[in-house]
Amino acid sequence: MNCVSENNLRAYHDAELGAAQDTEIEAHLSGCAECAKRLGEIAATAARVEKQMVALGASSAEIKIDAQAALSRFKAQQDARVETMPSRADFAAHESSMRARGSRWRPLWIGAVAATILLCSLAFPFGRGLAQRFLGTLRVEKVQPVRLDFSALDGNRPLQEMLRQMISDKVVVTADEKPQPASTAADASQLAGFSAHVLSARTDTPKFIVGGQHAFHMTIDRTRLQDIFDQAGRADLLLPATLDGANVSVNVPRSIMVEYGDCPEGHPADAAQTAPAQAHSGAWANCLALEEVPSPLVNMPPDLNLQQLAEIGFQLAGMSATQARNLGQTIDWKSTLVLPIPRFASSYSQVTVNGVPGTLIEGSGRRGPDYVLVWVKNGIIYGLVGHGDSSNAVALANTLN
Amino acid sequence: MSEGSRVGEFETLFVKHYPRIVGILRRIVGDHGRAEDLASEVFLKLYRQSLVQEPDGNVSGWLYRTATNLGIDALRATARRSRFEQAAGQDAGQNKPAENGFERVARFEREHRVRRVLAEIKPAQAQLLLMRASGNSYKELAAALEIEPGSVGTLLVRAEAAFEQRYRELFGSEEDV
Repeated sequence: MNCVSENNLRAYHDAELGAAQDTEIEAHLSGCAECAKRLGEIAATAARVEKQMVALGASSAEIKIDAQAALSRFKAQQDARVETMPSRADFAAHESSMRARGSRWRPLWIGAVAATILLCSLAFPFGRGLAQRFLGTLRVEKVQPVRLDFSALDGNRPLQEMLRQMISDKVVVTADEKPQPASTAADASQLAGFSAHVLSARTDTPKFIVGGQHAFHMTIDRTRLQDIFDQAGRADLLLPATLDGANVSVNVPRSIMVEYGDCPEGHPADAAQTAPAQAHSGAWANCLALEEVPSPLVNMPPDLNLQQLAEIGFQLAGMSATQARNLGQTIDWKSTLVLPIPRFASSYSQVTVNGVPGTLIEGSGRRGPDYVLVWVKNGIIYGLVGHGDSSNAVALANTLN
Repeated sequence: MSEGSRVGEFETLFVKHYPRIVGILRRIVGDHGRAEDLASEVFLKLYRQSLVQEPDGNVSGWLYRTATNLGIDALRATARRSRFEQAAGQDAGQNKPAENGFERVARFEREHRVRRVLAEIKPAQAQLLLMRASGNSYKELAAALEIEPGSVGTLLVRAEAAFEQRYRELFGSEEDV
């Protein structure tokens, strides 16, 4: 037998090896003065250090620890933590104020920024009144609706100020084009750089608007973001160190909006808020808007753990750690557009559109029901916004040529 | 598993492991109140985790690892903050009082020196020594610290050597204690 390794000598000393190995080592030791000497040294050092370590335990031995009492204290602390979170009444008050301000689909925006920036997401002009966000997306292939509500954070003025300040300090906008009209589908396609699709079920001539390109980049300042979390009352959510200094760039290509029927000035999704006088009048009932946006491009350091960041974002939006984890695990973060469903959307459902999964979100504006149907196909994100009955939304969308 | 039953499971784990976790933290930081605070932090981490996933078979190892990490962090922070105060305290300790308090002072001094050394060697080595001193087997150490079972012996030998070396550098031979 060769000389015994240091590891095995130490393990032998601690009787951590099996009987067979012990016998083998003993046989070797009896004939190898060097190993025997080394074992002696190892044992002596171990004994001296152990004596020192045991000394640490001496003064705590006599203290009795009441685990039940400690558990009660722990639970009380947890309850106190929960109570500092905003109440449901705050949410309700906030919702109505957001509705009154006419930013029906926007309330997520500011509050979402803390989470979404670090998730490399943004509100992109996907239907002007319909702020959509996506998360760390290399190429959007599918849509995942998620009920999120950052509105609790909206009432927090210092928080909003910190967010605004950070955005103005850190976000560098490199493209912010204005929308421009196009007279035909061919013109729109040429301007946008991809083929415009229309709904063959509608025989009336649509209006085409090409949405501008939007791009920005930013460097993430982890300390600052963590301060924002603290201000949001979520000091418990710790951002990973790898996030600091991460460079994130986002590019949203030009989009095409196809508007059918008698649509209000601006976007149909804005109608409910911009013209309260016409509430329930039935005007624009035939208005239908189809938005087409090629998948935005997001560049970020490859070592960013999107799922982990998204879970933090979800928790910031009020989910429990369990819910956030469960949801985060179901999403392929490299290819999924996470579509935040506002709390006041009355319902949403998963449907099949043009052979791919889509999400139909139904709401009720002041002038009656409206809906948004979202799906992704061949790298293009489609949104169909309509007023009135949503029951034919899927059938309409299926006529996309 | 439902959230409710996970909370129930968490409470069971808390009651089962809390005393041992406070015990090891007490050994590390030397202050009972501080140890309970840190233990509470350890269980808060577990609470969050257990809501997320069913605890795997090695909750005990996880708790030890987390507790020793936090304890060593606290020890190192204290060592940095109060090096001057400790040096002053050491002087007072050398000025030995009368027979009655002698043993107590000697013990205090000895604990203080061990903690100082633990704070100054590599945290992973300090952690290994602390967990070994708490009676964990090689198998338990390997599982809790996520190290190769076949290298526990070597790592222990190295950690002990590092401990003794730093001790000698700081305080001379330990027989002086």
